[in-house]
Amino acid sequence: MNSVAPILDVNNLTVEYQVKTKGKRGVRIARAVDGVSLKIRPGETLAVVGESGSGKTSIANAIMRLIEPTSGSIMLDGKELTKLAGKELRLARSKFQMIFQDPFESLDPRRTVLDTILESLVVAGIGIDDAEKRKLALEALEKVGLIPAENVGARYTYQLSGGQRQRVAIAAAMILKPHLLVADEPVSMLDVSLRAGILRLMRELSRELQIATLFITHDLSLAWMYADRIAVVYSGRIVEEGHPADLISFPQHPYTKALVSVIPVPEKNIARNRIILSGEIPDPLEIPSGCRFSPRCPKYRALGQPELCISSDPKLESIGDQFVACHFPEKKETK
Amino acid sequence: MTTNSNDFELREAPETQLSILGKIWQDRMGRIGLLMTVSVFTISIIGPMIWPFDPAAVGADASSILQPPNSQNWLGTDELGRDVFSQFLQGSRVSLLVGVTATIIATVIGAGIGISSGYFMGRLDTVLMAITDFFLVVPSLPLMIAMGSIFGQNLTVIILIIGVLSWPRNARIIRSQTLSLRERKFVPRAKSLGATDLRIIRKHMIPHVLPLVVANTILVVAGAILAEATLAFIGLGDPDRISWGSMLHFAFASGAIGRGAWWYFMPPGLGILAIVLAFTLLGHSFDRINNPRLRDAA
Amino acid sequence: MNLLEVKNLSVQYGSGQGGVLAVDGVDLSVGVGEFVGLAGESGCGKTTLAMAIPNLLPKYASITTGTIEFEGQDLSNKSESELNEVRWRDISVIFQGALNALNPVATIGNQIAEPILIHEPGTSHDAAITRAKELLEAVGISASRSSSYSHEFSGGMRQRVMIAMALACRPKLVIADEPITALDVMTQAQILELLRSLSETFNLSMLLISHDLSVLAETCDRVQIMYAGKVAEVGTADDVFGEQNSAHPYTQRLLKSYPNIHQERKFIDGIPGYPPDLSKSHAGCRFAERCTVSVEKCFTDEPELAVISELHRSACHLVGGSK
Repeated sequence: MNSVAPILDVNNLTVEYQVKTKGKRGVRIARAVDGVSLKIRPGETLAVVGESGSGKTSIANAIMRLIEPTSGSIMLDGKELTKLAGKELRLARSKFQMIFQDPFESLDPRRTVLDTILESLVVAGIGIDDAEKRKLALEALEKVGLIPAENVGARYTYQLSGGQRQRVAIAAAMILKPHLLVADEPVSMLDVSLRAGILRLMRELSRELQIATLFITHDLSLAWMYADRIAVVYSGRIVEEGHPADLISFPQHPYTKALVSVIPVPEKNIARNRIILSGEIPDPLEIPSGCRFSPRCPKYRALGQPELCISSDPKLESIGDQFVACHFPEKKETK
Repeated sequence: MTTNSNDFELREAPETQLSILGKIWQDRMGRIGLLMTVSVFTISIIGPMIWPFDPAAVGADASSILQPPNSQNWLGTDELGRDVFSQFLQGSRVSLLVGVTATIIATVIGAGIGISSGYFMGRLDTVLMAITDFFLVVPSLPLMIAMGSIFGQNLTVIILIIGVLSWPRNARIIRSQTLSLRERKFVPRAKSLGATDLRIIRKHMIPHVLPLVVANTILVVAGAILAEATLAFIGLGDPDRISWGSMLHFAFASGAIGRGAWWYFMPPGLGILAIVLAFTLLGHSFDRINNPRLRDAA
Repeated sequence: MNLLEVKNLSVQYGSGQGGVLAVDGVDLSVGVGEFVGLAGESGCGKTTLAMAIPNLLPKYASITTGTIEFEGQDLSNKSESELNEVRWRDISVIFQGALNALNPVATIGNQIAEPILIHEPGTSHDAAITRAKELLEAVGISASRSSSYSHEFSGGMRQRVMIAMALACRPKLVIADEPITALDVMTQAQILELLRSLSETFNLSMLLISHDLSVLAETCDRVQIMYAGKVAEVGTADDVFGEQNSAHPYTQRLLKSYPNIHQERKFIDGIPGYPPDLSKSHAGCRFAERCTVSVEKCFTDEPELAVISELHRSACHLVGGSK
C-alpha cells in the first residue's frame, strides 16, 4: 500500500501567533505549530492526537488555510496551497473540505438543510441549472442516510439533532468530492451511541471516493479504532507517529506511553499502571529548551535528568515502522 | 450503505412559530404601538384626500382668523384664517415622510458601516469606528441647525441632514452583532467551501443581523420625526410644506399660544407625541421579541 | 444505613397534558464513603435526578412522587430555607460547565471562602481565607495562588478550584455533574485521581454523573444506568462493566460504543435510533425499539427492576442479556 504517492504532503509547517503581553516587551511570538511534517495517501486516514493546546487544531486550520501558516509547505495533489491566494485559493477550496467539531455552531441555523447543501454546489459551480443542483443535493442527503431527503431538506438546520446535523455537514463536504477531508473532532460533541454511525459513514464515503482524511482528536482510543496511522502531537510537534496497533501496544515516546496508560476503558479491574503526568502542556510563549516534554517526563527523572534532554531538541526519527522524537525511546524487547 | 433508517428518524418540528406581527400583537405594548402606528399612517394617507378644506386657503375676512373649533372648522382656524384640521392632516404626511426616508438613509449607512467594520475588522474597522465615534459624540441638534441654515430649507435637505446624523448608533450596534456572529463556526465553514466575503455577508451575516436592524430602524423613525419637528419649530423647516413642527412654529410666532388658541398648537403637539410614542412602543416590543433575555427581565 | 436513599422519585417538567416525566419512579442510594456513578445518553434524566436531591431543579420542574432521605430526613418536602441549610453544608454540587462560571473579578481565595462565610456565620474573614488556602493545597494548587484570578488558571486548574469550593463546608455528599467532560484525557485522569483521594481524606460520598461509561468504570464503586427516565441497570462496577456481566442490552450496547484498546481492534457499534419521546405515552420496555434482542413481550409489558445478585438489578425481560 505504500506504493501510492501521498496526496497531502505537509512539510515543516509552522504557525506562529503574535501575542500582546503586559509590560514593555509588547508583542511576543507564540509558536503553536513548530515544524510539523505529515503525509496522507488517497483513502488513508491519519489521526493527529493531542491535548488542547498541543497545536492540533492549528495544524488543521493552517492546512485548511483558515489561518495563515508562518512557514512550511502544504502540497495537495501536487499543488502548493500556501502559495494560493484570493480567487485562486477560493476556487481550489472545494478540493479540501472540513468537518467541524460542533454541529450546532457550524451550520447556519437560519438556513434549511437543502440550502446548506446547495451552497456547496453554488460556491463550487457544480451543476448546470437549479434543477440539477437540487437533484444532486437530494442524492447527497440520501447518501448520508437523511431520508426522506425532500422532507429533511426542507427543515431548518436548528430543527435537527446533533447527529443529523453532522450528517448534513458531511454531505455538504463530500458532495464536492474533495481530495482531502479534515475532520476536527467530528464526534466529540455527540452522544456515544451515535458516534459509530457518523464514523462509519465518514469511512465509507472516504474509501469510496478515495479521500485522504486528517482526523483531529483528543481521544487516542478513537484514533486507534479509526485511523490507519496516528501522529501524537505535543506542544506543536509530532512526538511519535506510527500504526495504531504498534503505537498503542508499544508506545516508544514517554508522552505517548503516559497517554496510552490513562485511556479510560469500559471495563473494571484492568491490570495496568497508570502514568498520570503532573502539570500541563507548556505555554507556547515559553517552550522549554531542549526536549519540550522533559519538565514533565517520567523517564527524564528516572534516568537522573540527563543533560542531553535539556540541551538538545530531539528530532523525529524512525525506529522500525514508528517515528519517535525522544533521546531515550523505549526499546522493543527482542527475543 | 449500512445505514439504518431508524437512526435518522425525524423528530416532529417544533410548533409553528408565530409571525413577527403575531408576536408583537401578543405583547401588550407592542399591540398599542402597532394600533397607533397603523392609525397614524391611515390618517395621513387618507385624511387629506377626504377633508374638504385646502390647508393653504386663507380666510376671506378678519372674522375667520383664530376661530375656535366649530361645526365647519373642526379644529378652528389659524392666524390667517386657514383650517387647522386640514393643516394637521397635511402635516402628518411630512412628519412621516421625513421620519421614514431619513431612517432609510440612516439604516443603509449604519448597517453598511457596521457590517463591513465588524466583518473585515483590522484597519478598516479602526477607521470606520473612528468616524462613527465622531458622529456619535458630535452634538447633533446644533449641527443640524447649522447645516440647515447653510444648505437651505427644503425637505430633501432636511431629510438628508437628519439621515446622515442618525446612523452612528445603528453602526455601533450592528458592528458588535457582526463581531459575535463572526465567531460562529458557520462562517469559517462557508469560507472553507470557497464562498466569497460578499456571499458570506449576504447569506450568513445579514439574515442574522436583520431583526436587530429592523428593531433599531423603528426606534430611529421616532427620533427622526422628533428631529424634523424640532428643526421646523425653530423655523428651519421647508417653508413650502406644512408639518407639525412648522405649525407649532407659526402658532408660536404669531402669538397664538399667548392668546390661548389651544386648538392651534395642541393638535400638532399631541400628534408628535402620539407618533413618537407609537414608534417607540413598537420598536421596544420588537426588541423584546428578538432578545428573549430582555423579555424575561421585563 | 445509607447516606442518601431516594425512593420512587418522579420529576415532571411542565404540567398537565404537556408535562414530561423526565424521571419516572427512580430509586437511588449512596452509602457513606461510596462513589456512585450515574450514566446514560443525554436526555435520560440523570442530571434531573441528581439535581432533584438538593432541589435545584428549574422552576418549571416539580417532584411529583417519591422521597429523598438524606441521613434519615426527607428532603423532598423541606422548605427552601431548610434546604439552604442542607445545601453546601451537607450536600454540595459541582455543576456542569461550572469551571467557566468563576467570577472573573474576585480572587480564587475569596471565592472559596465565600460559601464558608455564608454557611458558617461567625467565621472571621481571615479564618475563612486560611481554610480556603488549605483547600487549595488539598486539591493540588499551591496556597500562594489564592490571590490569583480565574483567568490565570487553565481548565483543569479551574475545575480543581470548583472542587475546593464544593468541599469548603465539609459536605458529606458531593454531586458532580460531568466534572471532567470539557477536559483533556490527562487532566481527566488527574481530576479523577484527585476526587478519589479526596473522598478518602474527607470521607466523602460522591455521586458522579457522566455520559462516559468508561470514566465511571474506573472510578465508581457502584454504577446506575438510566434510560428514558428509568433505571435500566444498577450494580457494582464489576456487575455492570464487562460484557459477560452486564445484564441489560442497553448497557451492553453502550459498552460496545467505546473502543477498547485491551481487546481486538474493531469498529465500534453504536445504538441506532434515539431514546423515546417522553411526552408521548409508551407501552412496554422503553428500549425495545432500539434493542436488537427484543421479543414481543418487550413491546407490551414494562419490565420491573429484577434482582440478579446482591447489589445487581436490571430492568429487562431477558435478564442476563442476549439469550
